[in-house]
Order: sequence, then structure tokens, then C-alpha cells
Amino acid sequence: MMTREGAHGVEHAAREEEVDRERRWSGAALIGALETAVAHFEPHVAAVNALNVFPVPDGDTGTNMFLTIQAAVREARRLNHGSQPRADEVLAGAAHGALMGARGNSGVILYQILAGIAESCQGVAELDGRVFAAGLRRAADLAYRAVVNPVEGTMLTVIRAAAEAAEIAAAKDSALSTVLAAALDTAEDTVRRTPELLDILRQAGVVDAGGQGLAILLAGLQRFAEGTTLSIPSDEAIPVSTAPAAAMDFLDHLDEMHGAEEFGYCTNFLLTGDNLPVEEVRRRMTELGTSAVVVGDETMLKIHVHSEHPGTILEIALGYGELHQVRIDNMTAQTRALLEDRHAAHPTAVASSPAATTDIALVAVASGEGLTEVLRGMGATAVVPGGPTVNPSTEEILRVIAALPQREVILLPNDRNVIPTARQVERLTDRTIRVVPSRSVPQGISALTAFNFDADLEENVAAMTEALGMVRSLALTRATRSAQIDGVRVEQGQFIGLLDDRLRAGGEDPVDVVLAVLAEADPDQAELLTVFVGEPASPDLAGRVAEAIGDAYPNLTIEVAAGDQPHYDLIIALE
Amino acid sequence: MSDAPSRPVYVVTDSTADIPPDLIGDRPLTVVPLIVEIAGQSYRDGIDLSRDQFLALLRDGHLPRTSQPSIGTFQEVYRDLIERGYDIVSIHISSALSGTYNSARAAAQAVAPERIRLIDSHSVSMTFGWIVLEAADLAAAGKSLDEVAAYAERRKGDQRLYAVLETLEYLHRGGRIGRSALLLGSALQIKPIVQVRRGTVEPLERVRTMRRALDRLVALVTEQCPWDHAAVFHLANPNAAEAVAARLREAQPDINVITGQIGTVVGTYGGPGLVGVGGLVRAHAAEGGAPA
Repeated sequence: MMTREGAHGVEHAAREEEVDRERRWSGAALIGALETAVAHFEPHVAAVNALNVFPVPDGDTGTNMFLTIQAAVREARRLNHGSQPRADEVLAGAAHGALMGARGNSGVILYQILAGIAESCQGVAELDGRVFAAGLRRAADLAYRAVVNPVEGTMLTVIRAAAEAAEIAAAKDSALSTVLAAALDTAEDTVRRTPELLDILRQAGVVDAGGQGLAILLAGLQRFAEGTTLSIPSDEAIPVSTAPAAAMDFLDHLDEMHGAEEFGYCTNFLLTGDNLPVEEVRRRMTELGTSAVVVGDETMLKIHVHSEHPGTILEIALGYGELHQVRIDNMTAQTRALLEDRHAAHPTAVASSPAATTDIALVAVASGEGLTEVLRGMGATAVVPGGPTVNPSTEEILRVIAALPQREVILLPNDRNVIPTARQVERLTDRTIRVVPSRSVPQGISALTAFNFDADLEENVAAMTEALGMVRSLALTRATRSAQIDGVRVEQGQFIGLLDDRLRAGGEDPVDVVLAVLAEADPDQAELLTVFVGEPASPDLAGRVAEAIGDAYPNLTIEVAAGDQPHYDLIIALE
Repeated sequence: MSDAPSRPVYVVTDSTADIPPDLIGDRPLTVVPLIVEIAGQSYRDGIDLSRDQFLALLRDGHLPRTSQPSIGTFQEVYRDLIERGYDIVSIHISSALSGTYNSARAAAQAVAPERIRLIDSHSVSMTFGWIVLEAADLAAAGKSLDEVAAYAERRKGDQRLYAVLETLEYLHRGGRIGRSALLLGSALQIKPIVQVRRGTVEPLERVRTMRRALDRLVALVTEQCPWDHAAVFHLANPNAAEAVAARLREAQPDINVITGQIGTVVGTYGGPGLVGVGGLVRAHAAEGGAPA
């Protein structure tokens, strides 16, 4: 109820307010302080995101905290619009907003902090330093309780240390700015120490992201107490993080540090109901998954849990009430994506292929690490070592098959000399064995591409056998003796080119030989040429061959892959 | 009042149905957009961001993410229709692929559960989009809430969706890969063929070249003839889509086939280059057949 005053009076009132703002906040000031904190946080979002060491959905800590605090402020403002709100009303509104808007682990803990402050401030019209310190203490207690297995070196440590510092400061001076300054100082100091407390942070070379976010929020509040007012930018741009370089080292140690439990599905949802048994729900979630965080009250719980079986989690939760805002993210896939990005960046690293589990086993024969990798990547369940020069024994093939769980097996010999051996296997095991008589690795790959996950054994054998004819196999090697075959004369040691096992060209220059063989394989009808580089190939051979083929047949897509096969400089698939 | 005529029905769906706007016409049909976040901005699928802009951002290396419409958004849509005197059939993307159905369900519970029927389509894009259109036609023809909902529910079994992806990367990155993870790990380039069945994306085949992949796509689709409606959808691959559509018309001259681009949300998981065919095969047991 301000009466109209002269300019001097307004200035005077403003100064009064500045002084007051240092000491205590009304509900309206509190909204201003929270808005300032949000605005102060916003430019730091990307930096906090970059602190994330673990590439899982609750990874974008900066974004998650920003969106959570933003939701809190929005709700506080909405609930208290057009009135002269009390501080406790604003805090209750903010806590409710954070509960509804909490994203990720850090967002949930942030909600818990706001809820703690709100709870301890009940009945308070104006927030001063003493009340705030008590609020932080309550916040720390609630935050620790909400996390099933509290870990030091995280936001939990930071909020607790800040609360302790705030309490000590408040005992001497109840001005809000003094208490905030103490809390902020200690928070920042604790954030710097988080790598000492948590080894994964040290290994990744970062500080804890959630703790850092908390310190930034405190800094925003402190700025308001010191007289700065920032308004929330109307533009709701949310920075999206990119994988930070710091995450790289960490990834190498992922398995040791987190074991298998960080794989699976990150499951987040809201559970509402009447008289929800909070402790019981928390206990069940802890039993069912890992990293369980259950917060809220008997009418609404925010639940975060990692599990291999998100469906089970949701079913169990449904027994207590209704589900809202269900979000399930596949952490395994995200982790793998990051690992693969690394492999792409470091081509020397060999990607391990995922074990393809279907009802039908696909067993191929090949030698060379590269070819083995390629075949597995195209769906081979197992690869028996062997090939043109070292034919595997029946027993060797049998032994590989015996180790597989599948009852039905399709065999790809990938060499005409291995086909008979493979046929022996059919009679020597009680499993159902079918041989798709591939005569080369290119044929084997072509057959694998025809495998249909939906079809049964006989349908697949038919389709795969048909696919053998869809590829031409070229090979470059050296003549083991001088000879004249099919009208082609070669000297011992010269390069020779084969097309589907038949000698087609010989000469001193390997590029010429490949081009001569290729010319006989209807390259104009083909779409894709894949070069597998073998052990004997000189380092620049594949590049020279690919370039020459590209010049001669610009419509062909050319792919070069490591084959590592012995004896054959190049194996080429044309399809 | 017990013999009062039933209330008119309005159909609600979400933007992942990818229904071309010109097909909606004056049907009693509302589309609720999902949200796509890319390059630091949030956009409503199909409203705020053109596909060309979306593709340009993808090409610049931005990673999109998507989120379901909020419960509040659905509540507003439902409340408005209820107040205008409609009953509602709300048909949505597979709940295994998106939280949209859950959002809609929570909203329906809060607004008027007895007047809203929720349907989890177990599919995506212009596959369940066809069910949405048929349901809207039935609604326009004056069918009751129960009749429209039962029809849509029954039609789910006729859905088929096959797609060739330029790369699995987008599906993988978006965490929607499911069993199609079996297609990962190839040292060679592959064009994976997937299908949507029982609500999830399942692997079908690995094919080395796009031309052969499109041949396989046509073969898989024509095996399912006869179709009532089919859509050949794509992202930034119109020529391939037109070629596939032409071959489908050859295989089944009376087929109702359209071509169109998928939206930004489905595109987030399919990625540029995708060509797919989705639709409804001829109804087995629909009483009175499908509406025109």
C-alpha cells in the first residue's frame, strides 16, 4: 500500500529495500531471488553438462537442474500471482513445482532440497539467514534420506557442508547475505574437493556436476542478496550437451567401476495415490533395481530407478497408485553409442560385436581377425578358424557348434574345400544342421545378409542359398608356380587374379591385375564393391586399387575393410 | 433420457501418426504434437519446425531428442472437446516407443474417463495413422464411442510396417532399438530392414546396398497383399519412395497408396534416407468392411 511519493522518497525506499534484501526476503523477494538464481544458472548449463562423466540419461545434469529449478520458480510464481505472498507459501509452491518438474537424479535431489527448506520454513512470512540455515540443514537430511545409497563427493556432500557453514554463520549474524556467503564459500570449496572424495570423478578429471550446479544456484541467490536482480530470459532455449572429452578415459573403466548395474533402463515416473506407503515403495524399488531414488509424500512420489526390467518396475508401482510422466531410457544403448563414437575416433580400436542371439545359430568359417569381425558383424554367431589353406576339421567345426545354445545351425563353409567337411557335420550331431554351400567369404557375407530374423530354418536356408548367386568373388594373390590355365599365363611369384575361383589374369602390377579381373565381372551391373585387405598386402595397395576402380567405374560404391586373411592380398566382393 | 441419441465422437491422435494435413480435411480429428528438441530449441512436431530446417540441423550434427506431449496438453484438448459435447477416441503411438499414451491416459483419467477411450496402437507413423483416419470417418458417420473404439481396436491386427534405414544410428542413439540391436556391430555398411510388430521395432534383415534393400522392402510388402491402404513414407528420399509406390501399384492395382515424409519426431529415430511402407492389410473380420 505505497502512497505516492516524490522522487527522493522513491529512492529512499529503494535503498531501504536494498538493505532489507540483504537481511531477509518476503515472498515477493524470494520469487525475485529464485528468478535471479535461474537466470544466473542459465549460461552455466552447458558447462555443468560437460562435467558429466557417465553417459546415461541422468547425465545432463546442467539441463536437468536448470529445468527443475525453472519449473519450481514458474510454479511458485503462478501460485502466488497478484498477491503479497508469504515466504513459506512461495517455498511450498517452488517445492511442488520442482516435484512435478524434476528431471534426472540431480533434479530429484534439487527437489528434495527445496522441499526441505520449504518444510522447515513453514509458518515463516519472511526468510532470514537463521531460518534459511535451518532449511538447508533439513534439506541435507531429506536429500540423504531420499538416496538409497548416499555417495560422498556428490551434491549430497555439498549441501551438507553448505548447511553446516550456514548454521555456524547464522549463529553469529542472521542476515541472509552473510549466511548465503558462508554457504556459497563452503559449497564452492566442497565442489573443488569432490574428486578427492569420489574416485570416478578423479579418473575423469572433473568435479561433481550436481554439486557444481548447487553452488551456481547459491551464487545466484547471493547475487540477489547483494542487490542484483536478473529476470528469467523469455527464450526457453535449453542447451543440449555433447559428450565431453573428459568422459573418454572414464569409459575405459566403466565396467570395473560400475559393473553391470549401470546397464539396462533408466526408469523415471511419478506415482500418485492416497496414502502411498513411502518407505515400502522405496524398499521395493531398491530391491528391484539400482540407483533407486524415491522422493515425495504419501500423495505423490517421484521415482528414479535403473533396472533391466522397467516393465516389472512399472507393474509393481501400479499396485500402489497411478503412473504419470513415465520415461524410460536405454542406458546400455547410450553407453554403447558413446563407446562406438570412440571407436570411430580411434580406428585402431577393434569394436567387439554384440552376441547375436537368435534361435538359429549361424556358423561361418574364415581366417583373419578382420574377416572374423566382419562375419560376426553381419550376424555370424561363431566363426571357426580356417579357410583356403588351413581347412578346419569336422571336429573343430563340431566343437564350435557344441558350445552354442541353439538347436538349429546353419553352416557357411566359405570355401569349396571346406564344403565337404561341413556336410560331415550334419550326421555327427543331434542338432539340426544345414549347410549353405558358400565358396568364398563374399558369398558367406551375401548369405548372411539374406538371413531373416522372422523366418524359420528352411526358409532361411533357401533364401541364403539363393543369395550366394548375388555376389561375385574376386581374389588377388601370388602364383605359387609358373603355369598356364584357361588361356592365362603366369610366372611364379607374379600377381594373379581370380574370379569365382577361376584364374583370369596375371601380371607384375597388382592394380592392373585387379582391373583386368574386374572387367570380366560385369562391374557396370553392380552397385557395391567391398575390398578386404589381407596380411600380405602392401600398406598402400588397397588405396591404390580403390582409387583405380573408382576412376574406372564411378558409379560403384567402394568400401575397404580389414580382412587380415593370410595369403590373399585382397578379397573383393562385387554385388 | 436413457434413449437419448449417443453423443458425437471426436478422434484425437498425436503427431507421430504422420498424417498428411490434406488428408485430415474436415474429419472430426485433432492431432496433438510431440516435442522435438534440437540445437537448444524446443519445437512442436509438425508445427514449429519444417522438415527442411530439421534436416539441415541434423546435417550440421545436432542431436535431436523428443518428448511426449504433457498431461496438461492432453487435458486441454480433451476438456475442450468434452465441453463441446463430444465423446473421444484417442489413438496413439505404441506405448513401448513413447510415453505419449501414458500422458494421454493420465489426462483422460483426470478429465472424463468414462467418455474417453484410449487406444495404444502398438505402431507408429502412417500405419496407425490409417486407423485414425478410418476411426474419424466412422465418427463422422455418427457411430458411437463404443463402436468407433471397438473398430479401431480390432483394426490394430491389420497393421503392417516395414522400413529400410540408411543407418541404425538414429534408432540406436534414441534408445528405441530393442531387439534390432542384433543388427548393430557391423564392420561393413548395411541398410537394415526393420518392422514394427507387437509395438516394438524388430530386426528383419541386413542388406548391403540401398537398391537391394528397396527390392526386399517391395518383396516384403507385396507378400502382404492385399492392402486396404498403404503409405510409402520417407525422410529426404522422395525418389526411392515414389519408385516403391509405383511398384506397389503394379503389384496391387486397386491399392490406395500415398507417399509422404515422416515428421520430425519419427525422423529423430528413423534418420534421413529412411524409406518405409506402413498401412492396413485387408481387414479379416471387420463387420461391414472398412469405411471408404
